[in-house]
Amino acid sequence: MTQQRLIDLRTFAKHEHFPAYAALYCPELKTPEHVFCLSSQVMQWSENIWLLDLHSSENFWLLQQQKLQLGLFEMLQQVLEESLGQKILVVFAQHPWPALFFLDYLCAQTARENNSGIYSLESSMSQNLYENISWQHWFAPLTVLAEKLEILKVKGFHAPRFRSQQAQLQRFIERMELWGPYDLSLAKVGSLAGEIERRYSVWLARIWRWTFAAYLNRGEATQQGLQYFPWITFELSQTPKVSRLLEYPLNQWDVLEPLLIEDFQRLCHLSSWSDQERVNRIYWTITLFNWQEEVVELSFRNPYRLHAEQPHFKTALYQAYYSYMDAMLKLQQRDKDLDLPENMPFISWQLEVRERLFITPTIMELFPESFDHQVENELLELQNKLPALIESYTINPDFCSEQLFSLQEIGTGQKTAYDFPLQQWQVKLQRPLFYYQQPQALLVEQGYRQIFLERTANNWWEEDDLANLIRDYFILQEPNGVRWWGYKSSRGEWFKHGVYS
Amino acid sequence: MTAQLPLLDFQQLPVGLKQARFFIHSQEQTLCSGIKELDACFGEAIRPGKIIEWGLPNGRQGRLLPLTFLNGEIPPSIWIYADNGTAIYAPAWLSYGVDLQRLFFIRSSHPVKELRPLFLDNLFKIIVIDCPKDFLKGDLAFIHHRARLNQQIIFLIRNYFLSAKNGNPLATVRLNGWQNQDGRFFVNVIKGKVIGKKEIRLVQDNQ
Repeated sequence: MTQQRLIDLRTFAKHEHFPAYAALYCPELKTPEHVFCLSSQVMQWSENIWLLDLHSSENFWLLQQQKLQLGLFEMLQQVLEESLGQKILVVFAQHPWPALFFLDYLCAQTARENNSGIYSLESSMSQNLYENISWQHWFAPLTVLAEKLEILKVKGFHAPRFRSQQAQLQRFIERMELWGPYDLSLAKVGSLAGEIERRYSVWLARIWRWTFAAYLNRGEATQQGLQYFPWITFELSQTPKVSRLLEYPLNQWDVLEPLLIEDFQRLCHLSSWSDQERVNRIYWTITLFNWQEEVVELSFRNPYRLHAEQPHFKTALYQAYYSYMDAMLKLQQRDKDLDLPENMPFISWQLEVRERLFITPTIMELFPESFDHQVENELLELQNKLPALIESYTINPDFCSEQLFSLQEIGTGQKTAYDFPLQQWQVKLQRPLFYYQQPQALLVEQGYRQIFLERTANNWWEEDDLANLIRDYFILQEPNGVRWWGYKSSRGEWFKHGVYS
Repeated sequence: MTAQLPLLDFQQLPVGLKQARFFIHSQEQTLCSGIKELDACFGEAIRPGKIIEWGLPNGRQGRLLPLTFLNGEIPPSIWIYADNGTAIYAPAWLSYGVDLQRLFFIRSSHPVKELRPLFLDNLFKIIVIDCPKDFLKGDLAFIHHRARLNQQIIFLIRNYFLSAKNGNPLATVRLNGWQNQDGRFFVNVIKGKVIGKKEIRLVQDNQ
């Protein structure tokens, strides 16, 4: 007889979303390069704490995860431990502040119990812990945050005033005998933030909002962005770079191209980096004929292996070409009223690899190349060569017509199955293939034939304008037969939302 | 006597479309939609290396016709759409049977100029170029050359009805497609083996 499981806890596990940020505590860092093991965008928060922005390497790691057929966080743990050793604490979150807040709590625990580990704020266990963290750990990172804001000389930020407002808030918390920020979470985050802003400071209100960014989903977090977070990119003192002094001034792409190929080759021969490392950004600093310097970026959406493209460097050349065209256009626009050559020639340049993923050969050994992932690999490579984003979409279970789908990363183990019954969320009524992201106001008196389709309601709990939640969707047909997807709002206004193309 | 066709039933339209299924005949390597009347318009014309030119003005649902060839388990394909203020409404594509893991999208008004690496690569087996702007004869020649070399099928969609006056020697089939005010779909083949106007039944008959 087979044993039957009544409850399988994995059934209730949330889908693993790739985190946007990581806060890393590493007391025994070998060299600063190692901290770039997961991302090329790093910030040093304090002596032993680092923040990693994982956006630029997301596709790369998701593809590696697919190759390894491991859980996302298991794989990230393997990479981190291989690069940084066992004694690390890492918190993954959709915003750096909740990660820092949680990390401060974990560091305090570690001091007592000597633990190490990896936590994702999307997991139920971490969220339970997060909800019970005391104010002490919320206030602790504020000191460093104030320092960073001071370094950046953020407009409207005054450190002594901020500290006194922080002390006022601390006194209020003590008087009220509140344990942690979650004690106040029953009040609406936004309205409480307004109250904090009124009584204490706009900065404390912002930090309060960031605290609850831990509960946002991926889309909402991306929409919110860093919003005033004082991100200071950490740069290594030595980066791979090559310079070229031209024998005579040049500006024609056909002549520049072979010289750039030579320079990419020289970059690859530098001993300061390994052939396993991936590049996210190369800075091309061009000195013009009038000794003016122009810095253009060669950006790669997915970490790009320069060494692997020897000797032609097609991807890097495409990006260099796009940057060259943009720079030329900008210069022409700027100098159009001046008595200067139409295309200002170059006299020298420097290529510098500023953002790169520090991946050691031992880490790459974890991820065997396989034929199964050829299409995904090719997609990522092609994306790096193009100036526009290759779009791939996924369906979300949501009643709102605009929230029903979202863009997803390409080549990253596309979902073959949805973790909800897709049929329930499929559009049963006719909707158009193309829509306007910003609905356009419309006068329907102009003789449109109206065919009613459906009534939809937005999420009232997320909207400010409660009187304008319902939309009645119609097919609006012009006398000449052209059809539009339009709706009538609760206020009776008409909008064009798509075209039946 | 032909049977009376039903008037447009919007609920049934996706159902009818979903019956279409992309497939390639293994021997002839021909791309078929599975809709008899539509496949008959092309004969064996939709093959790797060929260009099909569609005249599908906006607002007349004509794009549902090429979409019938992109249903189901297609090889990786891409739809290049012009930047005219609209974006892809993914649920609609899904409801017409498109596999969103196989059909990708990219926004570009000048694809040959801006997306050259995409045409040099043979990753995408079906490339739909939807309403390109300033699409010159040289661009067409380049696309045709790459399609033959990479064995890709190219659908070139124009935002106007095609006319026999201005020909396109590189397109194997040229046709116009639209949905009329009663909701019936029609194609008018201008160049190809079977020339003329024809109704395409995407909406299921009630009988």
